[in-house]
Amino acid sequence: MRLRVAAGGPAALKVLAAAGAAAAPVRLVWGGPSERSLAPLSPPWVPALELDSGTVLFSANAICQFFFLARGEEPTDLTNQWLEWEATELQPAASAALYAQLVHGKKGLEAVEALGKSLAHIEQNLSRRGTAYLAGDSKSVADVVVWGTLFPVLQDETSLPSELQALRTWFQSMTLSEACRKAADSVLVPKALLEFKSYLQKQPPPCLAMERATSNEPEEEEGSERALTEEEITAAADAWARGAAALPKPWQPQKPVLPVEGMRNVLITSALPYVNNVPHLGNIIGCVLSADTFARYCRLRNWNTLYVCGTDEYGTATETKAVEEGLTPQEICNKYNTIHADIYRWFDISFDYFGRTTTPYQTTIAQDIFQRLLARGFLLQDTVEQLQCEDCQRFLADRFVEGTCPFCSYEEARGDQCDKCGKLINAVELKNPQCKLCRGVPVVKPTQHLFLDLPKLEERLEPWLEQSWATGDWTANARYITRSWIRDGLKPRCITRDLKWGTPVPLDGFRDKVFYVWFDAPIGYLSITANYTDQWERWWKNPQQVELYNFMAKDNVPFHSVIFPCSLLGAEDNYTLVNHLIATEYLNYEDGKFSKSRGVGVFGDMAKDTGIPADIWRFYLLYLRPEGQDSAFSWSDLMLKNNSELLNNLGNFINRAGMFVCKFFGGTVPDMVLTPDDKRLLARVTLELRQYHQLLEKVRIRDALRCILSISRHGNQYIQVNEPWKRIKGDEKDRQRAGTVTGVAVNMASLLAVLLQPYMPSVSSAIQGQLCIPPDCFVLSHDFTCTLPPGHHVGTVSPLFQKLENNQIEALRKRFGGRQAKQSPPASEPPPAPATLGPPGDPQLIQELTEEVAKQGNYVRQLKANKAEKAQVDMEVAKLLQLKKQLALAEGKSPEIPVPKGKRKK
Amino acid sequence: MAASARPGLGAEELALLEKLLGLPKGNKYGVQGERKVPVLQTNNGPGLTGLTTIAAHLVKQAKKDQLLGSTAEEKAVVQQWLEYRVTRVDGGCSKEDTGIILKDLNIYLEDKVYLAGNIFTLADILMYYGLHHVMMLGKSIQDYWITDQ
Repeated sequence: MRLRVAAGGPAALKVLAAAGAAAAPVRLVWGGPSERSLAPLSPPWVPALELDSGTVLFSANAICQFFFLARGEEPTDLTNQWLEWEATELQPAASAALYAQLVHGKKGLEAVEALGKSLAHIEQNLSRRGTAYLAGDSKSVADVVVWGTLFPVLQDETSLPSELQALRTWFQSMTLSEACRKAADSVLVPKALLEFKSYLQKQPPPCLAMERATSNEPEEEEGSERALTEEEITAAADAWARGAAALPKPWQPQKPVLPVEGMRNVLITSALPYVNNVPHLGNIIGCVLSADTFARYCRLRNWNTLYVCGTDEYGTATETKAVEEGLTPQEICNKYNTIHADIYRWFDISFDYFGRTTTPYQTTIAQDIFQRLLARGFLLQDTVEQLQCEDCQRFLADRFVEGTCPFCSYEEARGDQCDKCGKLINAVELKNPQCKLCRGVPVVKPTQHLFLDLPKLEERLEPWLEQSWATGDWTANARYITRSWIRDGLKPRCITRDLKWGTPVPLDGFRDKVFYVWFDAPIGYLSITANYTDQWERWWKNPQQVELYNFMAKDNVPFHSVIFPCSLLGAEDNYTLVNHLIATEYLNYEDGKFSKSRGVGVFGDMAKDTGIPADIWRFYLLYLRPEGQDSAFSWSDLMLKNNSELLNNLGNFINRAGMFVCKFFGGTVPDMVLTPDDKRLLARVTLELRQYHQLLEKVRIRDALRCILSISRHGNQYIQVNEPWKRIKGDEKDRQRAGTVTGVAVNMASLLAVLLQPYMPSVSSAIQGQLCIPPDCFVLSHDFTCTLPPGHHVGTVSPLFQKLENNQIEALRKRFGGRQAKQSPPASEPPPAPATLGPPGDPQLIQELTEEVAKQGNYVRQLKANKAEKAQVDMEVAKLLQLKKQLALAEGKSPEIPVPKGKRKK
Repeated sequence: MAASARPGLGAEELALLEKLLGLPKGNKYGVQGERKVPVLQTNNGPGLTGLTTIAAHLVKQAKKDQLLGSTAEEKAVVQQWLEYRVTRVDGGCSKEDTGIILKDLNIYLEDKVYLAGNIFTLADILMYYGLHHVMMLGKSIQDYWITDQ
């Protein structure tokens, strides 16, 4: 028999140890973690045993069991129990711990934290039974299997808490046994571990079963399976009966929005997009769309909310771009700021103000903070060796140097940060540096610079962080990245640069320099607010009244959690510091990364050319918001989610509810007589509503969206079970029942319109229009109440969503799949080739195409009548068919062109 | 979605299995932990924990050991699929996971009668129980989009 194992793979250890312990005659085959698997059902790093009969065992535990069976050791209840426990409880915990060690670099007790419960379980069993081994006084398959999973995490018994005495003794005796020791020596070789680590880094972090319940999937079923108590049902029915009068009045803040004493004042920022980059879908979900959804939610909660953002405009990239396009840097910024603003407008981002960093306020505020830091001794002066490109005659900004990462040897590391290992780099430390513009080799030149003294500020940073973490909601990745940054040791950080396009440094000897963008850019939040209102300090120097939320992708975390707070703490001016730092993971595109140079992926300005409405984009991006782990945009998934969740679930329910009112009750909400079943439904919806609030209060935007879909699923089932379309034709009692069901359903639709508003604002207002929901009902409370009472008139009801067709999606996938040639960035190009797909239903396009089809049709008939050459006729017929296909697509039909009869007969 | 979110499923399943094995009623089951792992309560000691552990115990109690396989190879294969049932089928949390599992099983079963080849085993029984609600759900999803409009 052949045993395939991957060195470094954790499960390899137990199968080798078991083979050794049971003296099984196996032929070993070594494979790497990324090679093809021998067993089709499992990943390649999982061991596989090929038996002489050809059967392949792909479960490590079954393989171990087999070795012991072959030696005549039958499983007992006890060994079975250990093996099952090991597979269902220990393994998930151990992979989480291993992931924390290898990928997150955790050490010591912190690393084995995830194992705590499991270790206690073993200790308890060993000490209670008083046996030397898990299933008795001799070693069994259970010992090998459990040890094999623990060893890669623990390495030796010293990492075990000392109070686990029985476990320590057992673990030590196992580790010392010959079979186990030999297996460890052959599997856990350092090189193989490295290989395994790099493999692991590419995998999503394991989700623990116990975590899953609270974080990843707030399952729709979970709410619905939970038994409702009588109190909940009564409370839900009471709340319903109180009606719209029980709702708070929607808060309409004065403009400009300013903090109000006694209210919850929420200040929201999303990371400032760099002006030269057209944002891609990942940028949009990471920053502005997430912040927008949350801002809209806050407003619906009657929290006094201000949401600001703007373009980050200073820096070398702008200078270079200006040279390229023959404009001044300011002109470039004006041009691109408009592009950004247009994109966000299309995505319906509800900024209270979208500004920019190139304003006089930016200079005033940045220089003020600088002077205060200088006066308080938080700035250092030093000579810096900087890279200068002699061909381009300039000092090279970090992002204009590329080279090999000094930490991980990645070859395309940028001058400021390595994309692969994520470490920050000093450009001169790059190996084999290259000027990104001319590919020349830059030389190192000394120049004077100013530094923010982070080590000195650390003693202020730490207590503030502790306080902010204790009281605020920081995403796990934000906490983790910050913690590891501080642990690696804070060093003075350069805040000046040898550039022209930036905020000038107001200090003699530095007047030809500007502030480095990461000192300058976050100050943009303040200056942008200042451009919105001259009373900006009421937001930004008011930590007592204001709660600050920063939204960003995870690569921006250190600047918002360490550097910027240090600047503000050092300036000692009672600044508002971040309370809640919300960072997303990355969004990938199909199977890879978004890449502008390769034209891969959808960029903000192209989304509208796809013909897919902004709200569908919003829905899908929020549905897969990389919360907790990376996620990937996929065209087929987009189609699936649109057609299943939006069209069949949500849209179907809301449309049916509205249609029943129109068709069966003349557009007037009928009287409702609630049965116990109806009340139970109200309580279910209330549960989902509460869950929605609970999640959004913690900014778990993606998860809260599931609650909305869950409510409409309940609604569909409710209609399905009660069949109002049949009962309406029945006797008086049946007709009354049809009325009640319709009334409850249309009120659920009204609730959904409000819940949807943060996610799909246009769809929400379309529902509001169709059902004539009073504007005063657009506010969120914790109760589901009857907002459309009997007698309420609804308007004209029409479908909310359109089906996405396969061919349409395939065409889009192709279009955004990337082009090979390196061209200038898409923003400066003419718009993509005239789309064969206009937005479905575009009347102008339909008319144009109809005319062309008619024209071409006449031409073909004419040719045939004149007995023209066959080749020419065929060519023109092909053109005609193509036009018809485009017309069909424009009309939103599937383009099935009937084959001309004549041809079929041939 | 997760089958583990369905309370008491394990105990229900074990009661069904008892019936199938022709065992007299009388075993008491409890649940343990957040995953609601079934526990067979016994008169002495802490009892047995885990769906497949208890199931194997019941099979032996009913003297139908052949359901656990006869040769070492068969026994290991049964063990493997029992593990698959509790880790993959019960552990999968999303519809995607369920889809992958069904596809994998379909490929695996293409040239086989039962999970352990030609013999019917406990693995088949528990896999059937584990997938039953998924299959039913699949059907109701198809019937879901109705035509009253």
